[in-house]
Amino acid sequence: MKKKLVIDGLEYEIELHSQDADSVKFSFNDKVYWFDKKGEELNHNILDHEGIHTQIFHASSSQIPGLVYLCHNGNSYELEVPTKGRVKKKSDEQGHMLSPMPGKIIKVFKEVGDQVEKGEPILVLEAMKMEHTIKANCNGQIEKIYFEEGQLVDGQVELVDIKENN
Amino acid sequence: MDEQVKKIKKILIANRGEIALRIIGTCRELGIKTITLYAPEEKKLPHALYSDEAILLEGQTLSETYLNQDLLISIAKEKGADAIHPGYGFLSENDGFAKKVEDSGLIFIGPTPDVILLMGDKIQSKLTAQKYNLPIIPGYHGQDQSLECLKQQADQIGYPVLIKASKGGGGKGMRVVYKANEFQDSLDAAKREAKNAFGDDSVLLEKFIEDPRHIEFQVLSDTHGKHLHLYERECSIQRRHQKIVEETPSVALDNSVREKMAQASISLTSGINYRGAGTIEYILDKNGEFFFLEMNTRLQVEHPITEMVTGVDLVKEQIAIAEGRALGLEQEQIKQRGHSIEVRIYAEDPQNDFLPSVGKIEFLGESSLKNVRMDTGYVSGNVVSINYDPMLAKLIVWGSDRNSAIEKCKLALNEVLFLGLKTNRSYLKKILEHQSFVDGETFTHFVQTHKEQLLTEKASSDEELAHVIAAYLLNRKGTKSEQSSSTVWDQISGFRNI
Repeated sequence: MKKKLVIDGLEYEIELHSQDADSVKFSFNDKVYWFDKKGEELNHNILDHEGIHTQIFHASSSQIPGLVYLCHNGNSYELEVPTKGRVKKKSDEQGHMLSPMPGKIIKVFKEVGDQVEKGEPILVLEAMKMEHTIKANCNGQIEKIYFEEGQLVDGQVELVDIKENN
Repeated sequence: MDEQVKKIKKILIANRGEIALRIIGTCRELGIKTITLYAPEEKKLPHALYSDEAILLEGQTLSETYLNQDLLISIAKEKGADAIHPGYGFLSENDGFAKKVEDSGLIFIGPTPDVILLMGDKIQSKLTAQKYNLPIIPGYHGQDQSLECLKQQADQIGYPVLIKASKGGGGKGMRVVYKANEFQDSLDAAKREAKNAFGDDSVLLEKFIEDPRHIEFQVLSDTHGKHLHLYERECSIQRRHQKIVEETPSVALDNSVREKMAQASISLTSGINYRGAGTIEYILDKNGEFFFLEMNTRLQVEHPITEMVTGVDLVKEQIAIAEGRALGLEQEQIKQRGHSIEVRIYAEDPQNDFLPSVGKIEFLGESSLKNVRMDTGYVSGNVVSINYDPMLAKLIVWGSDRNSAIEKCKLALNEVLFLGLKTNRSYLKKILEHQSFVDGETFTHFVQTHKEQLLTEKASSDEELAHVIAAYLLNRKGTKSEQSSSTVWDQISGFRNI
């Protein structure tokens, strides 16, 4: 049975050959892997692969359904099954700037109608005592600034629209 | 018992998070009751749970809560505390608060208000240090901007000299001059840049410190005239002026420089008749010359590494001093044993311009290694919000020598997970792994110099990914055998949607 998995945003295909409660066998990138689960605690397992033990930590996200955080050899991974309809995290498109995190608008440098060059600071967002400057991601004229100084914003909401110069 | 001694039975901790918990730990050992404070969103954080009493602070802003001086003092009085411990940050270096606390009849666990005021002033503290023969960075900050005057000053300071725009920032109007005969050209260039950037071409001069290191000395002084030091901490590895890796001993100090810095530190604390725990910060150049920077009149974030190598509990000593007791330690008894490193784990994403990461800690991993201490203000299930510092934890390790401490710290970093949040764990590991760090080339520009190497992304092998996939598959509950067709897979992926 072929299945797709998303690891850190990249899609991979595996073929699951067999699985029971304590073992799994699958093909991945043209190689077959067997794993036995030898130990199980609340947030970690001891896996046996070809006689070698590995400790892997895991926790499910309580905020994003289906998303699992894992850690192996100190490296963290995010795994999920690709799901239809699940909105991918929006990224900044040309001319639209989103808040990268929840925070407070502490400074607005520009006004609607101002011409800006790519890289020019438009406003400053503060979160966790750190300032983050939102810069124009294209050359153009500011069409809309959604917030004023002092306002609180969520993550991934629109902050600024710029009409790109032709 | 000495008349001056006043036993402390209950302390109000005017702080939060890991430092509040750190203070609770020592208080429990001493049989002292603790009162902590918490904001509405903090009611599930351990500092609001592991004290003897916790008081809810209403309000949204820090000035309504942790910085609300009168409120904190009235809570302490009402709840029968005899003393207030300010931790670090917040009100810890506020002389007005220290005075209010003392005027109310409570003990302030820290220096006297006048010393906090004196050492908190950038100019006054340097003048004071000079008065007690501590070297300060030679420089010229005068009005006379003539070439003749500036050149003479530069010659006197000694090359290399740094020319800085008085109104400056961001490196504009800045020049390093290595030789006397290059001074005029560099001055002209710096003045032109300063004029263009800041509309003012006045400059100041300072000795340019090559390969600078940040070295600080921990001090302890009681009210009976005993002034001790607990050796150095090197905190050169900084990002955006924020320390991220600290260690002791410093590889940069030989015994003669160490002894000179220790004597300078004691000269200052005895000169100002200091009280309590404090830290004197210096900049050290590549020739072993050191210059006073400032004094922090409180407990430092990185104090645990000193505790690891000296075996002294600094909070315990702070409390004893505040009670009016004489320090039981003698300088000769204080030794540096082995090597300790602290790394600060932050909720931030190094791969995305160190953007703070907020959310729920789905799982907090603890280290299983010996001689590892983690000071954190969180437990699994806590939510990290935007309202406070992004520091999640301090990981402190001890090894018999520097290399074993580095190795242990790397191992422990693999264990202290904050699943659910982005952290700088791998960035810290890359610092510890870097050959320049291993070689002790720890200068304050370290993270800037090695920027690219520290930000390389993880490259996982197929086998590593296969391990992760296997763990994922084996932890999906409701998984049956492969024969159960694709509906099983739908159950798997839908499992968490309930």
